[in-house]
Amino acid sequence: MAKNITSRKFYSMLVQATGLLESKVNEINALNVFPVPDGDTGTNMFLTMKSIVDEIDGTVDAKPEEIIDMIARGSLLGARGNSGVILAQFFQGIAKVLGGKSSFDAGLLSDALKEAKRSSYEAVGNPVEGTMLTVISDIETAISVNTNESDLVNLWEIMVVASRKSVANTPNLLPVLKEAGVVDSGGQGLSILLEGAFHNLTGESNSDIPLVTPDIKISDGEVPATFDFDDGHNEYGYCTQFLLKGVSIDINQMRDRMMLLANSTVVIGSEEMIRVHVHVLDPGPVLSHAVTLGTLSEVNIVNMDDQNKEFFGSNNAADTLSIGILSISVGSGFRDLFISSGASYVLEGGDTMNPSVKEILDAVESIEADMILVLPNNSNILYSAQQAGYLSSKQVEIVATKTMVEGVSAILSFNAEENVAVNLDNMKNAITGVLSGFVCVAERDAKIDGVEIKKGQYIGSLNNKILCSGEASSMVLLGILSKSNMYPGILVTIYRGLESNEAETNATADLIESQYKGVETEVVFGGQPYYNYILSLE
Amino acid sequence: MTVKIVTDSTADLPPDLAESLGISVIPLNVHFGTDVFKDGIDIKPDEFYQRLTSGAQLPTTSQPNVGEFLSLYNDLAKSNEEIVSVHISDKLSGTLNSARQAKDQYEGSTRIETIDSKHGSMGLGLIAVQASKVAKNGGSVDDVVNAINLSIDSVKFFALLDTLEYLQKGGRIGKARAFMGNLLKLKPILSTKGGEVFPFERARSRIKGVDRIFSLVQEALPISDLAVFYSTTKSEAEDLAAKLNPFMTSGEIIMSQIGPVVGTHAGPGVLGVAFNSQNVV
Repeated sequence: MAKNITSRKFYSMLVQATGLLESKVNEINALNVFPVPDGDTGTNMFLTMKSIVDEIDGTVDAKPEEIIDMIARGSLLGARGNSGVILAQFFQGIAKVLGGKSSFDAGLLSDALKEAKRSSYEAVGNPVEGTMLTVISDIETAISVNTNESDLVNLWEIMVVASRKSVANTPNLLPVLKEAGVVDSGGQGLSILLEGAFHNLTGESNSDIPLVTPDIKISDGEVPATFDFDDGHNEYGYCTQFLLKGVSIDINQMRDRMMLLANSTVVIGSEEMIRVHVHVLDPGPVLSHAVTLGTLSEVNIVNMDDQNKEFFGSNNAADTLSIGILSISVGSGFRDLFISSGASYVLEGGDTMNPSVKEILDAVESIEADMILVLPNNSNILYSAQQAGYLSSKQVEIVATKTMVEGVSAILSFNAEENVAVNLDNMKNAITGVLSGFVCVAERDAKIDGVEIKKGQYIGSLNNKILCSGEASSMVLLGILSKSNMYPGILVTIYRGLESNEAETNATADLIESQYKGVETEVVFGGQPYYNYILSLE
Repeated sequence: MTVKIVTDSTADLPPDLAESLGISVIPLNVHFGTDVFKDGIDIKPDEFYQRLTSGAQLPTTSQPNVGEFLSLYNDLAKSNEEIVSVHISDKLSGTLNSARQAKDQYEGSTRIETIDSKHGSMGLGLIAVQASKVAKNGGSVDDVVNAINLSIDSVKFFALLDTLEYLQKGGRIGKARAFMGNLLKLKPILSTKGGEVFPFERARSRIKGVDRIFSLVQEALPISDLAVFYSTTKSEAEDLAAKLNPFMTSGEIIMSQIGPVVGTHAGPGVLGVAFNSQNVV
């Protein structure tokens, strides 16, 4: 029986939850939709949680009423991958209600979960059901229908049960999961965290809990699987950012006030220092309110309508902004390619190592330019890059490149002679004209997109679809093209991975040119691990 | 009294066209070591590109001297003509400087106007052609100058290069290195703005570059006056012209081979277009 949970107890629940998650990292990582080494959700969630633990670990004398805000802050900067960003937003929502409090009861928990759900859904441009978001939504619902229950031990158990049920159901909501026969990894990670926290609450040590088994319901006429990420919202008005310094500022009150006045609100910091990022039609009231609380610095107001209206040859102020490009990529070849194409900074990161929001933020801040264009080059880094953009004092725009070859196309269309709006437009257009593919070794047996795959075989993919499998990497490469629409004028660029052989790759390229009339090939060293070949068709 | 149009050999006007329109073309010079050739007169394009690509020695270029301009202006003044002398951008060549000095030293009473076209190659070529048409229709010096000033903004120029090597050696494009110093085999598309050559886009392959040149014209429709120019790839240029022909509502596409002086800086394998359009590309 527990009517209240103190903030310190909540922290120790998270520590134990993180411990349980750590023991499950590999199992959660294995819940991949494709049998390829892509975004490791378990690792990302664990590292995000670890940064919460570390944030507080060093400050033994943290005041009870500060702890939950510290948890939120730790998660924000440590967030890695999409799952990490959603988790961080979950804690931002929790802190919005529980921040500044030294304990909470059932009523507050329910309110906090409502807020956590809201801010988690806001974290992503295009919320998809059958993911961690659905699990968050389901536990919130489970608590909100149990208003008569005031025992937090019972309520927590209700959350654990609801989360397991929700996780088991994710394949029925998201076709790619159903096809792969797995549950959503982020949702599973969250469920594990709730269980670990529950163990701590009831005074048990962590035990080995099996992962949730998918509860797949088969129906007729299944929807084909697609991955779709929104480019971000098209808001208008003024993007307003500033740093507010003062004495014992009520950050929650500030955040509430900003949310009333503006959109896309991000308010983070401490009682002494708060960073604010908002989108607002009139920046006046926002600044007027802030100036009553302290002193303002690093004020940066950008007219987003102007950004949309600017055109070639305009003598706008934006013309004089220096533009820097941050590219996130894997492999020494890709690094050299991005640098030689005009990137100011290349941050190492990709499929198996998603950089944290903090790492992206540090890279953005290190570039000597007023305006930074970020090429995440991976769909699982997109949201972390967006978060880093919000937190930066610089004007940051994310070009939603989902693969490194999209990143290459984007950066090649960049022209330093042009302003930001024209460049963003050109870069977006450049991405649409290129198909990304790869050849790599299958990590497990699978049947995906109708292709039988044996562990250890090479698999070939184009445009997020597995097209073929086979015993030789060059044959699989040719197999991809044989299943694609090839016509004269197509350029096939083959980025060789660490494991590939140069002579063999060149021979394959020659074969492609002789096989397809009018098709050109180019072989470049990418130096990426895991993927024998990364290729682009354009 | 008629107005006579003078331009220079960097306009890359086909000789027949210049003659039929009565445009005087003053040649720049190409130097292979100590051998000096008058552009398009002492050395023809095909012979030049042959020498450019086979020889170890790279050519250089020089502007016509003041005396050459002065003697041309004096000759034209004798036949009782007023002169509008329109030339390659003074940011790319000292030709206009020679013309201006010749005008200053000219002692006769004939009116001479020297104008910076802010263009080169067929960009300048089209401007000279338009000026000559105004002059032929009886336009005054002021009419011709006004027409040229309007053309400076409406003429668009795009050239696909095979390599930036020659431009870099000639020092004609400073930002090119950062633009093209890439590990991929990129094909640069250049344009002109404010009298300077600037990198417009990078194409991933020759075929894509040619397609892009086509689409740049398409995006600028409606157009009037169109020139397709090349340095060594005549049949490619003819194929492009055939594809562009439906866009012509009147007149014919001018086919031009880039001459030795422009070719010294642009190199072999250049393919491009110049046209008039009020649309911003």
